[in-house]
Amino acid sequence: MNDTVALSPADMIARARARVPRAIDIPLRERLQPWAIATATFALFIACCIDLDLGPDVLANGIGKLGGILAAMWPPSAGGQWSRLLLAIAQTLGLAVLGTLLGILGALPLGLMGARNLVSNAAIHFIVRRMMDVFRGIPALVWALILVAACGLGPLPGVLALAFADIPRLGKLFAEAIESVDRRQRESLQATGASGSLVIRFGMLPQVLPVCLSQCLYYLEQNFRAAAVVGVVGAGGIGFELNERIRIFAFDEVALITILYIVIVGLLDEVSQRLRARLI
Amino acid sequence: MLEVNGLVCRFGDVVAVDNARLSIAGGEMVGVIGRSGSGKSSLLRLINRLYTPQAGSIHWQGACVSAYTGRDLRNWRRRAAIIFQDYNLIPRLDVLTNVLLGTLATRPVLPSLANYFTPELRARAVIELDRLGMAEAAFKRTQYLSGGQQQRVAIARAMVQDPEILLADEPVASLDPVNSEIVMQSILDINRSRGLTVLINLHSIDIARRYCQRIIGMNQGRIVFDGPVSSLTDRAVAAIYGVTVDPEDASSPERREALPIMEPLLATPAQKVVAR
Repeated sequence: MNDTVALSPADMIARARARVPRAIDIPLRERLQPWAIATATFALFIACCIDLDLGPDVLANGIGKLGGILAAMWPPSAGGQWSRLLLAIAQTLGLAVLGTLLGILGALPLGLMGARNLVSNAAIHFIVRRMMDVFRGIPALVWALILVAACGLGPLPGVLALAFADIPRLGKLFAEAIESVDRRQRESLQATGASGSLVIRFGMLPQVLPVCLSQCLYYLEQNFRAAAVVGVVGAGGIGFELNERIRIFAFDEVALITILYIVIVGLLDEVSQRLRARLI
Repeated sequence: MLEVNGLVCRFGDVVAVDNARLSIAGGEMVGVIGRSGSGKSSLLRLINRLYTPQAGSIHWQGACVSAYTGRDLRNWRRRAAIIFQDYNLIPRLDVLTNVLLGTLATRPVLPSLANYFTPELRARAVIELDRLGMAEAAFKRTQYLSGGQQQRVAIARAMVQDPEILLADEPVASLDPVNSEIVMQSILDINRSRGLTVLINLHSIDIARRYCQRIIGMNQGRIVFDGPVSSLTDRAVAAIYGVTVDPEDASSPERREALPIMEPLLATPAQKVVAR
């Protein structure tokens, strides 16, 4: 029935080799490539371990201590401070929300100015984009360290740190969302004789808004995590409480805070995911 | 021989295939026509067992393939090769690798995971590609190929599966007329030279008439027509597509104006382009 099956394997290989040699005789370089990559990755791993002085003994020692701490975590306890902990969680949530909102406010004008299809002036576009590129490298934690030193302990440096970290990132995302709109929708609005602002309102906004909102929600999720980290360096909230408990070796309370935190993060992720699914 | 009996497939409240019954002898080339949503694609996917029927049975050479599970099921999918409207190739992989994917079901898993294929398999893939005029493109990524070329790669992938039946789901619906002819001709050649049974969904009545010996018509999940191409009259076509046309009326200008959608369907044999 099938005439290729009738050919002997040797005949088949000879025929294919004559037709496409490289399919049968794979070049040595290509064959060695995966092995070379695997070897190089392993070598890099070893080199990093040597660089950091991470021998098996260090690892065993560390894991032993970790086991001790894990044992001290059981059973988790609120230390009779439930209301204080819940308040701290609420404060962290507040940090995240305010930080995100300020970030969005700051990012909006930058995003609009950074979009090539809105601002035709190449110089403005270039400067805004490069500025955002430069500041995008600074994480919220570094901003928090600087701002705590500048304006003292408390939630204000926390909020500002989150906002400052978000502005260049959200700005870039907004600009890219605006730049990737379907030109034809805009064109069809222009073709109706609508004025510039209406072209943007109906020819671009419906495309850009869901993308941007979904990104903002994602940043809110991220900021709730970042708010806890920022809290550790003195910007208030649950991170601050966590740090205090670790200093006095109250690991049972650390465990409770961690569990509480995980639950809230999970809830927030769930809510945000549903909202985002509905947006897009 | 393929035998389908009382086949039912539902998605929620939608009945995609409703009590389908058909029987196809080995080596036949059968066209399935019908509107979008009439259940053609579901029927093919049920036969290949990509979908599981809620009721009814599918038998191949006497064996009940609708009861297969696990290894038997995967082996049946290999034997009932399918090609798709949008080719469904892996764009990031080159042509040769795409074709070799057709051999996965019969090979040990570990070497395949490491993307290793024996020289014999690679030779087989090259030969199948060469038959379809695609050997030169063996190391191109499929995303850089034209639609007609991609569909030929998909056919080669189906052929290295060593299938016993070829299912084609609107294989030329996304192609221009020239490429449609090339792909249809390739499928016909496979049917003739290898005696492979072919069940092919088409939305062009004209192509169905020229390439198939037998036509099955579907409407709202039901098989409403099954017969040789010669019995597929304009009236039968109208019934399959759910439009009632009085044949005497159909050719009159007013009637045609009222039913512009019927124009291509009612194309007379004189208008057909004869392939080959």
